[in-house]
Amino acid sequence: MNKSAQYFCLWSAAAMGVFVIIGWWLLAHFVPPPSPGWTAGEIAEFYVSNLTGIRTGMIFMLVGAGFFIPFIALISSQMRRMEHTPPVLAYTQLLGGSMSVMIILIPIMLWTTAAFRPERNPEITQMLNDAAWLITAMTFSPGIIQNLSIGLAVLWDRSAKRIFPRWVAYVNFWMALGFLPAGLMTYFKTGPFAWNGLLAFWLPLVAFTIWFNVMFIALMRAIREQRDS
Amino acid sequence: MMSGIEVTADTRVARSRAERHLPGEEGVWVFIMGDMVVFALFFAVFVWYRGLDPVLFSESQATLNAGYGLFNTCLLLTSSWFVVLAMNAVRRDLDRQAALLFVLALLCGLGFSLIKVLEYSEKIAADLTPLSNDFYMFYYILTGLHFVHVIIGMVVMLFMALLARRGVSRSGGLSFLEGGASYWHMVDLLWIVLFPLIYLMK
Amino acid sequence: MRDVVGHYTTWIWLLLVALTTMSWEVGDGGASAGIGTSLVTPLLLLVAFFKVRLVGLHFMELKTAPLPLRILFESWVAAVCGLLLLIYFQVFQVH
Repeated sequence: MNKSAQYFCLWSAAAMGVFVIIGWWLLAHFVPPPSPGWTAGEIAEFYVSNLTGIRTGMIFMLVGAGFFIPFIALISSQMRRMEHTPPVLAYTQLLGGSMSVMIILIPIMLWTTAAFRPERNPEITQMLNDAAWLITAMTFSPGIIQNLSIGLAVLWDRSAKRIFPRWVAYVNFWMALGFLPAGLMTYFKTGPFAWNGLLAFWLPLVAFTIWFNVMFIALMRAIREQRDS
Repeated sequence: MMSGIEVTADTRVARSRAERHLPGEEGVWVFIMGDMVVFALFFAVFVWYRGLDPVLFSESQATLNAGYGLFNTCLLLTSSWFVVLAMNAVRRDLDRQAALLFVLALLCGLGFSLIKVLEYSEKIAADLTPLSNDFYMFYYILTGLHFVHVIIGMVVMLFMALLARRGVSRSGGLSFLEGGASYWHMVDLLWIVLFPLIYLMK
Repeated sequence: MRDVVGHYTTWIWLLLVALTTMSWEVGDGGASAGIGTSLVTPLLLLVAFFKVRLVGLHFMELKTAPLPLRILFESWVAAVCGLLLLIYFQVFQVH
């Protein structure tokens, strides 16, 4: 397997992190998220007061989302190396992961649309904002399937030299757990289970960050230890 | 029987007491401690929100039946005890006893689940849902999240019983049993905290 | 069978059940008469985390586990119990 191609995939993930932090947080000021409890007027004001930041931030997010794709492909290609692990798990990861990318792309364009014509009816802006946040933060299922497929693959790995250490499986299972509360945000406009809440937003975000860092390091080691074919 | 030094099951047990031994593989503990941290977060948020409206929380708590909570706590404690006894039996190569004890633990879990379902349906029939107020939101979400863990634990317990019955090889099988046992004790441990938080605290 | 059940953890189990029942009496029954109302909850929490520790050390076998894990567990018990008590006493409240 071509090592430099893999290293490119790996470091593109680091680029994703940088672009997302710049775009989502620094430019668009979307972290912490605007509260679902705000009125339509307040949401419209939020967009108007930071129009360029949001528009530019979304471009950065698009780039960042693109950079996530090779990372997901890399995970699957390493999963394919695991002996005794059915290849179907690698394909499941691929699908689950690429859906997670789509789940970010659509909200990015919805936020862009909301910022495109700020003089429109505030209720429409609010609806676009609502949809974007719900799609981004609530769709836990592809991510959980992705995590479970990685976890199972690692546990079933019987290679002479394990591709990933076994505890990586458990980090994946833990992240899947951390994403469950996100499903509750459909019921709440305030409190810890709203889309800006401690348990429905921040917990999954922290879980994702930990997962990402663990996978990054595990992949780096796996590539390094790989025998050149 | 020949006299002299024989390595019996008791010696093996005694030896594993003297040395430090990690039950299960290290990854399981990554998951267990991670899970405990997540629940700790939930506990803290619950007590915080309680502090914002103690009257509402007290009044809502009064509509709960603490007897259910007490019985459920005892069920989980007993199931944990069964699991400890089962692991002892496994280490003494008493396969059938071990399997039986795992099944008993699983039945306790089943009992817990039945009471939970009963409790939920009672509350829903009385029009008390997760959207009724903040207390009930936490009640359903906290006990619900824990309930999911119980269900997963029961599935694992079933596999543990089957594995124990077949006789466990020294290497991989024992590690799986230890890991599963530790997970179940965690489920018990979390409920030990949940019981006073939800049903008893003033 | 006897040396399976006669294990010392059977005593731990009995203690856990007893503590749980006593907590229920204090929290829900009438036994709280002798204790000041503001002390009931802290007492219940302390007892709960004492029980957690028993389960961890003796059921989860952390007593004979590698030290780092035991320290991690004990830290969780102390930190969470402490945090819940602090929040309960509204130490973090800003009015």
